[in-house]
Amino acid sequence: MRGVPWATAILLAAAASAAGADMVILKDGRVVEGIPVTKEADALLLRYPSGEVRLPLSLVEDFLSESSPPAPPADEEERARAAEGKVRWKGKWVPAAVREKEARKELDRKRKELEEARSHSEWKDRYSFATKNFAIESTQPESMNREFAERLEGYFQAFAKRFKVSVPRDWGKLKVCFYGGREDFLRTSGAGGGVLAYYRFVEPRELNFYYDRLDPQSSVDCLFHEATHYLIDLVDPAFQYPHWLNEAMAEYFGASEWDPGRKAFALGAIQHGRLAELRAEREVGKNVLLRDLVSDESGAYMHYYWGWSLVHFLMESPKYSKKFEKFFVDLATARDVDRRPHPSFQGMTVQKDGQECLKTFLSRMGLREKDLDGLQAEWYAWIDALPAGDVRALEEAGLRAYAEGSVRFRAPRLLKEAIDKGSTRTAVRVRYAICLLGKDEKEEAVRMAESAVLLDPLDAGVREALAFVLHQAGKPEEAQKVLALAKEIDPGRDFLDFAVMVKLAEGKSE
Amino acid sequence: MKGIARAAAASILAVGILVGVPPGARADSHRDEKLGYSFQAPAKWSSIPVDPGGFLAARFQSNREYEFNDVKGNSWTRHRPYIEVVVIPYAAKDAAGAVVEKTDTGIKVTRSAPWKDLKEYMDKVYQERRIGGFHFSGEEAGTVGGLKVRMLEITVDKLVEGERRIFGWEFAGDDAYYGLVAEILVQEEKRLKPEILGSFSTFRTFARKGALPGTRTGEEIEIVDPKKEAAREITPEEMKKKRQDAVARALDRLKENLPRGWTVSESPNFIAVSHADAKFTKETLQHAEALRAWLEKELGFAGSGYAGKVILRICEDQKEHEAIQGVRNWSWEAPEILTFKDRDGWSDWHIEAVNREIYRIWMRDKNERLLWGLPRWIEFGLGDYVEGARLKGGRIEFKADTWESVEMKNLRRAESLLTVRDFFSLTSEELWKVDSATTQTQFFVQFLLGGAAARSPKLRPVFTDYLKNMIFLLDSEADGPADADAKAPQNEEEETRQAQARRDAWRRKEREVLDRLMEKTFAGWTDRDWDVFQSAYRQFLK
Repeated sequence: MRGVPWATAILLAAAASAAGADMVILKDGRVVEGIPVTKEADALLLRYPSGEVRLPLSLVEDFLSESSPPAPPADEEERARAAEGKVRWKGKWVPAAVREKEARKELDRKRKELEEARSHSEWKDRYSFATKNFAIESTQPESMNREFAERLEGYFQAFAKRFKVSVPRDWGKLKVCFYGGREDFLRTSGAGGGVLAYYRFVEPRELNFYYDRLDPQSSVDCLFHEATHYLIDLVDPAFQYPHWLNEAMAEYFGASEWDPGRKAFALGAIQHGRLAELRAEREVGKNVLLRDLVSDESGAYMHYYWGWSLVHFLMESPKYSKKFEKFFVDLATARDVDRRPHPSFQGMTVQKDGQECLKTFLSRMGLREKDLDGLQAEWYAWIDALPAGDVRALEEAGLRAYAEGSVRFRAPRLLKEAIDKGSTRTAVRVRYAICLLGKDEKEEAVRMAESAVLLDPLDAGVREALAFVLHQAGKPEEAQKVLALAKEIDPGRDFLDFAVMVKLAEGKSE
Repeated sequence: MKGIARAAAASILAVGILVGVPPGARADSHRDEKLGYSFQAPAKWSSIPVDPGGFLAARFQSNREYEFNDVKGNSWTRHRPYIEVVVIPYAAKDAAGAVVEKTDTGIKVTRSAPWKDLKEYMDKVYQERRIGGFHFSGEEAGTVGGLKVRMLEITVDKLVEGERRIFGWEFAGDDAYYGLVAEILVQEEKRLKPEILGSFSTFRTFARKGALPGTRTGEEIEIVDPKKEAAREITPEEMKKKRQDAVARALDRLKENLPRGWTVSESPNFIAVSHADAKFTKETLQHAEALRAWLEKELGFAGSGYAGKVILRICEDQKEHEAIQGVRNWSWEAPEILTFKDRDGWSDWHIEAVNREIYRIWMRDKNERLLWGLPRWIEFGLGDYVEGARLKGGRIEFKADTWESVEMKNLRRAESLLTVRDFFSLTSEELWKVDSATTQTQFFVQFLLGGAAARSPKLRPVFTDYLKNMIFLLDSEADGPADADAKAPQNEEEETRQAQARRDAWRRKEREVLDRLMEKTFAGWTDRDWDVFQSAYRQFLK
């Protein structure tokens, strides 16, 4: 997974902040307050009423502990210095009183930073700032806003240069709304249940997306996907591309990788989730024909993965990429291409029909109708040759297999392979643990669910899953203890899944 | 990058400083003795009946609509302001979550109180109502009439026609929150906000005579084990009693909170709860009974289920209908049809909606499996055909509307009509791609049930036979052996094949059903028979 190394301040439901209360800020932005914290060598211990949570320091951005005593000297040097009344502070030896004073100052500074971030966490108090091409509104912390804004601007410049597009003067800057989580996104953007992000292509134009803590990379992908729709609009603002091409291009460009050092984008990254969907269909001989895809006039879901793969093939093949780009631009702008009025939006046009799109494709690609089979064969071979062994690919394929019910063989094989190769997604381990329960490997299932908790000790949902696994492994009392702690970690969650899954499992065993 | 600045806050509520509205411009005080509150709605606003027992205690709506024009987007909308009264017991905060129980057929999840205070209510309800993208734009505290009040404000400004403002005042009573919630267009804020907040300021509580709403929403989700469901069939007598009891309970609940001006009258199969005049109510009941009689006569063979009484709620006009539509409860156990007296007289769509509902409820009662399992052309075609039912001279007649007739003429000229064979052989995916598929299926059903086909000895039984064969197939399926896919896979290849089969199962199944129906219904038919059928249909369309 491409790293997103910033610290954020997305708030967890926690005890009310009080002056002097311990506080932990995680690297992914969650904040825990009011729970006593003790530092160990490589972890923090958070002492909840129902139990302790051990939080590896690798997950911690910062912490403030007023309730725990200072750590005792750890080595000879520290013991010798302690005898002189000195302690370590930021690489220097200082009197204990000086460290006390400096630590307190730092504590106050951190609290102020946190308060500042909190003060913008509701939409009515959102940050609002402009870059060269975008007007950004956000409830995310400034560091994250800067990072996303830089990527977005860089992306815009790269695409605009490649396709020679510019923003019409009367459009102004595109409004981009950035939310702290899916719940806020659904409420404030008005998006429907299955939507991950959207770009509104009529006035008032805007782009809405959110930060997914559990899969930060998908947040970036969604932003670029929607931004690509905006950029596609700029090719000809009065033309709406057919769905297959619009989504396929958005998926292709949406997977661009940003190099902050070189300030450049690398195209051609693999959309692993889409590849997993494709492979599953190809394995059972379910293929989409090239001519059918290019002439498709519907809004079919398969455009996201079959379409992506076609664009990937054509854009990544030196002998086709320039021709394909010409087809893409000419479909909207060339005079010899027939279009018709948009059925819903006055002043806009769409392609005349699917056959016109196919005709334009053939002419720009320099092909005849009979050449399509050959190109199709190349395309399928390209798909089959795409590397699928990396962690992300295995994760996506495994999760998909699990969702389809292939929980005895395929899902556990792929999920295990992903874990063995270093997957750090809790969802992968939880699902693998459930697969193991199904194969009656109960002890291994418990170990796997526990390893998921170790990856994210403050995720109450993962603990809920562990509770279920423990229950099914014949350890109901341990399950209840885990559930009790989970409820303290996230008091706002309803933990309905546990109750329902237990009852369902009871029903199956009768 | 330019500096980061805080976004401008939305409108700010002035605590304790309200531009009052002179008392003469308000309605008489609405007083609820059971729940122990009173307040004065703005003048000429009317009360809308709500289903009692839930969190929504009352609803009032403005006597006028306001129009919003989106010049850039070339669209417009109308909005009618309303005020809702919500009561949330304090005990609700301790009753969060759900109860999960085992039942004979699986498990049942009964959700408890979905909100503990007014802010949570507004957050969840407005998301459920899909009002558009919104956020809380204001929150202040104050005191009104001796009660602590939290004054909330929502701004709806994304994916909405005409930005909205929603005001919510949460009054802290002795054992419950009383909430007043109102919605207006932002463009009318200057005019309407003082009036509405003035009305809010008249809110008072007093000793209650009744009980607070319970903390169970009653929202139940049943997860059914198909094997257990098949083993336990409900008898016709049980079905009848269940339905009669449910309808009686629903009617009692409606009567409990029925405002002045509403009446209750019954016919053999319907109960009219009406706010329209007696003549219109009687005509509506007669129409409903006539359509029901037609269904029994023409399609009574569809099943042996008990077709119970249906509540017909008749609003005095469209505005009342819209107000109730958004807030009523509905269940298949005691189905209700909501309609209104069309004073504008420019559209028949409300009669079409009533017809469709009468048909669907009746069909579900008679044979639920058939309702959900109908081939797509019958699902579209029969529903649309029944929509066109009108009572004339004591008889039900069916007529397509002008637009549909013009559509068919155009298709005929363009030679884009489906053939008779197409109707029986196209899958739903294939049918979906056909130009004006729903209109074509409607005309085909009209031909079979009321056109020349009904007068031909060869063609008359086609529709009935087809449906009867469908019923037979569905019944055979229910009693048949378990799916072979239920066998656990022995390796990954088998498992993958099974997963793929599951993904495609519905498509395969649909194809099988269509082929078998064709085979059974048209056994022995020659090409000549099909030509005659086709000819008769084309003749009908001329």
